[in-house]
Amino acid sequence: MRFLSILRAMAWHSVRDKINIFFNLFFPLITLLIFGYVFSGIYSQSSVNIGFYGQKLPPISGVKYIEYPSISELINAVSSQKINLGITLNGTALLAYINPVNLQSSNYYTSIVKSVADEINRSRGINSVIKVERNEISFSGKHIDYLDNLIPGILALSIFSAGIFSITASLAHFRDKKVIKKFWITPLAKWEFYAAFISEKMVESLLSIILLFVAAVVFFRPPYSIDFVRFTLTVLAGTFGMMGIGMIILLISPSARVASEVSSVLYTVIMFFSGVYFPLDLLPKFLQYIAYGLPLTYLVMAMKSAMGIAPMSNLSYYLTIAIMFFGSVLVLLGFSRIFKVE
Amino acid sequence: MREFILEVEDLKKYYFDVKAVDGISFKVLKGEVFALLGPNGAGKTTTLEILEGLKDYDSGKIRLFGEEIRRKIPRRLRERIGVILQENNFVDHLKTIEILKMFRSLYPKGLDIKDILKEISLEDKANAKVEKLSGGQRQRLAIGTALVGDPELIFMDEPTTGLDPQARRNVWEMIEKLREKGKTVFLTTHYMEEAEYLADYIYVMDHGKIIAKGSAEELISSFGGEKIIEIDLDSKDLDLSFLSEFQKTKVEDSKIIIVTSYLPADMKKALDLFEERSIKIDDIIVRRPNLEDVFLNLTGRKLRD
Amino acid sequence: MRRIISIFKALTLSSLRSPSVIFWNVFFPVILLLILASIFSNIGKEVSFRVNFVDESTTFKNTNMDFASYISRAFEEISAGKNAVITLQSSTTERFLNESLKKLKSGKIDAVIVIPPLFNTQIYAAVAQQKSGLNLFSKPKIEVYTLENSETSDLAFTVISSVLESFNLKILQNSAPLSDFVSPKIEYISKNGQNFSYIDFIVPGILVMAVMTVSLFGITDDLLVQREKKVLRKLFVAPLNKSEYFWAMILSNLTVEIVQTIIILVLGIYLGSHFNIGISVLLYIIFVMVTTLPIGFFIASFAKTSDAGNALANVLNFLFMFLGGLFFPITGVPLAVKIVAYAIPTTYLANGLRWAMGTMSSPTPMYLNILVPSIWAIVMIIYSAKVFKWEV
Repeated sequence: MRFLSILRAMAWHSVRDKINIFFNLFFPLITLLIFGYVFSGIYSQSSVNIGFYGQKLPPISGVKYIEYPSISELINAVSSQKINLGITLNGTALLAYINPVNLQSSNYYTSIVKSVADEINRSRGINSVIKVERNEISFSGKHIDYLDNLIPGILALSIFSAGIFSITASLAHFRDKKVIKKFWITPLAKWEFYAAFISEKMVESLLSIILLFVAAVVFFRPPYSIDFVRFTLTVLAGTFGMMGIGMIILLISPSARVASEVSSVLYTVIMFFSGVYFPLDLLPKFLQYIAYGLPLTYLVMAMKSAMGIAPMSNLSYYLTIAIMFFGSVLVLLGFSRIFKVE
Repeated sequence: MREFILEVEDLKKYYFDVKAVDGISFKVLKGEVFALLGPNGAGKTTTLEILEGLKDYDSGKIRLFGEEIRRKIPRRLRERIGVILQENNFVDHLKTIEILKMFRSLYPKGLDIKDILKEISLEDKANAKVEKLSGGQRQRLAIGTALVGDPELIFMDEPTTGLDPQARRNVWEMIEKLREKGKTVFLTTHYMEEAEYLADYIYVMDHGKIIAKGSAEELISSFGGEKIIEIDLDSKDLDLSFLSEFQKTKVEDSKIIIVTSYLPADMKKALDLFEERSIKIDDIIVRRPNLEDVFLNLTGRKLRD
Repeated sequence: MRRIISIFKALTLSSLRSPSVIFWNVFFPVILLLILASIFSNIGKEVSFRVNFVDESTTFKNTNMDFASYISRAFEEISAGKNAVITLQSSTTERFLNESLKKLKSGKIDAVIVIPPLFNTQIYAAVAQQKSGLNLFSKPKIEVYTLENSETSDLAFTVISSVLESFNLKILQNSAPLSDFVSPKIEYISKNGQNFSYIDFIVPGILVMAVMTVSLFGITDDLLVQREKKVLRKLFVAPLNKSEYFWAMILSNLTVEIVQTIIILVLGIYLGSHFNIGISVLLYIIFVMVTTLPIGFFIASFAKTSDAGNALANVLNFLFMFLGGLFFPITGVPLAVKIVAYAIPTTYLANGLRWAMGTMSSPTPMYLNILVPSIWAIVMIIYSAKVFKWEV
């Protein structure tokens, strides 16, 4: 079969390409590990170091107290990040010093300071009348932390890059080296070539995402209840959808080099706007509008729903998948007409 | 009666106001080696790519294997064609044998991979990755991929450009073998010795037009019984207006070419003229005209300008 | 010298005319600075929450002792107006509670406040108790449901609890004198005493990143790509020494770095960042430039092909950028990651530069901020000098 033999050739080409393996497997893995550790350190700290000066403070779970002999030393320790925050009791004011560098954690620190104040008040016999009880619930019913939310985002980013670069780097490279031209002069039909190329890239993407996912599970043990149908569909439709974007980039770029540059620029910039690292709600409003216009945002949502940690109704899920899929079919039809092999 | 395998009539391809192919017509006989000779930019590759189905054309008629073709060449005809492009890159990281197998699988019938490997003398490179092959080896592999489907008609675009003399000899031998097997070869070249050595029939192309045609012999004898006097001078930029006394001359730097139909008289005249002006002559050669001279004669330019 | 200058000119012009060099070295740091500044200075602002309020209280309804309705009204007041912090929906049925919880789970709303059935009775019992010092009845309790691991939900809870806190305070004021009541007060501190903002923190970080990028990608391009393209060979058959090319290359990369530094500092000032500009800042920036350059030589010597060099540069770039704490402080990471973070030079360079610019005191001693990057630079130079080949 012509289709199969091209598919096989493409598969060998990819598997034997060390640089390809590096950027599709190894690099996302490093991203996953580094971001996993760095960001979960910022957003879900297991213990907090509090420095204090003067009067002893009541114990709070998850807090380690360190005493400082003077207020200036306390402030200095906060400013050089030796401790997470500094507290001193001054009359009826519980002064807390926070380093603005730890902006991302300041909410959390504020709540700790408040519970220290509550604890002091209680010990003085002042009890709040109304008790406020906080119940945290999650979509899956399991405890989900920052990292668990990050993993599907990183997988979605990998799908994004696998899809776009397969066109703007791989296919463009074949075009520039006139490899595609060589196929056009054989009895091979255009659709057979594209079908083989795209299928191979989709399988490649699926396998690498599965490997990444397994690595994530091994390292971080996230509590996912994974929906394999949605997972597979998301990876395949996502890769195909992003290929469509790659085709558009390639068509409007004067050369393959430009196309590949444009896609790495796009990749790096979009990374920050898609709810992978920072929740979209925290972005300024105008950036939120940009974010909701980006395809990666929806890919991240679809991936989260496939892992059972965020809701996405059947309608919006399958609509997302269908748009990615049929959108790319349309692009592909146009692409194969306009795309010149030289 | 031998049949025509390929007939082209008044083929035109314009890029805006550039006339890449400007109404050319020719016929290729089955079993012959047909050469399209011309300098770079003459429109040879464009013509070839139109015939291979890679490019659209503006007007004209093409009949391939007796069938009139329009925009696309149908698959059953492409199965009978082999093509060697100017660029010979392959899908990276594959081995020679894998490339051949892949191309073999694209054709319904064809040759045994082992025979092909032997024919292109790459048996010892069968398991080498294509990116490790030398230029000559890659060109042979390219020929292999064109022959693997056992085609009746083979298109070759500048098959020996950029190869060293030994590799070029190898390619020539391969084309000779194809002729012996009764295959039709359509090649483009800007090497006149290549056309002269290989081709049964030559079309000379320049600026998108055919300016001469015939076998090498015929083209050369279009000079009649003429001979070429080639004179090398010591210095250039001399006033050589006196050369107008000859019928056909051409000056390039310090080289003067005089076309003569009566050698002894013209030779004497030339020597006398140089003697009178005391211009020093470095070297004088008298030879038969070649295709280069034909082209020079027709266009006033050299092939490899 | 003349040859160095002419090669320097050629290399610099080729960098300045390449859109991709300009993008990655100038535009990208600028865009990143703008993105991070706008994201992090926005935290806690411009956010609005969707809150459902379920009042299940049954006692003292429609009397002036209906405390639950006071709370409900307080939230309604916050939700009124155009740019309200809260979008409120309230009802009293149990069905509404279930619906609200379902909505919360699927992220359609951010918090649910539930007032329990005997709330009003309990309030008055509790007030009476507080006055008499007894402790007989259970305390009134308001339940707030939030979505786990949602920043928005967290913020919503902060707002809700501060509203409820004000009620507590009012009740306490009515029941007892509050001379002993301790209330928290948050103060953000900075080294230079000026209003510190996150921008002050990232400007030095972005600067270190930008300078490092030039070395990682610029030097490797000048050496590996030019070697592969045989440009180097062509230059060396012309009367050009390797050392002349080397110095020209360093000068041309330094030029790009100086341009970057000026642009980033000017943009930082424009965005309202405070930092000292003095001789120590200048010296430390030069120190950053000098100690990051050898990373490029190291990659060019370690990698055999330009593709491999590019891959290695990407990995190092990533490690040095995110584990160096250039954009976020590294806290709460496992020991192994912490060791890596304290082994790489960018951690020290960022600390040192922040110290020099007066944005904060360095978490690492200043002598280490000089020593560690220097050791890296020296080791990489020695390795490169031994291994690098000008021709392949």
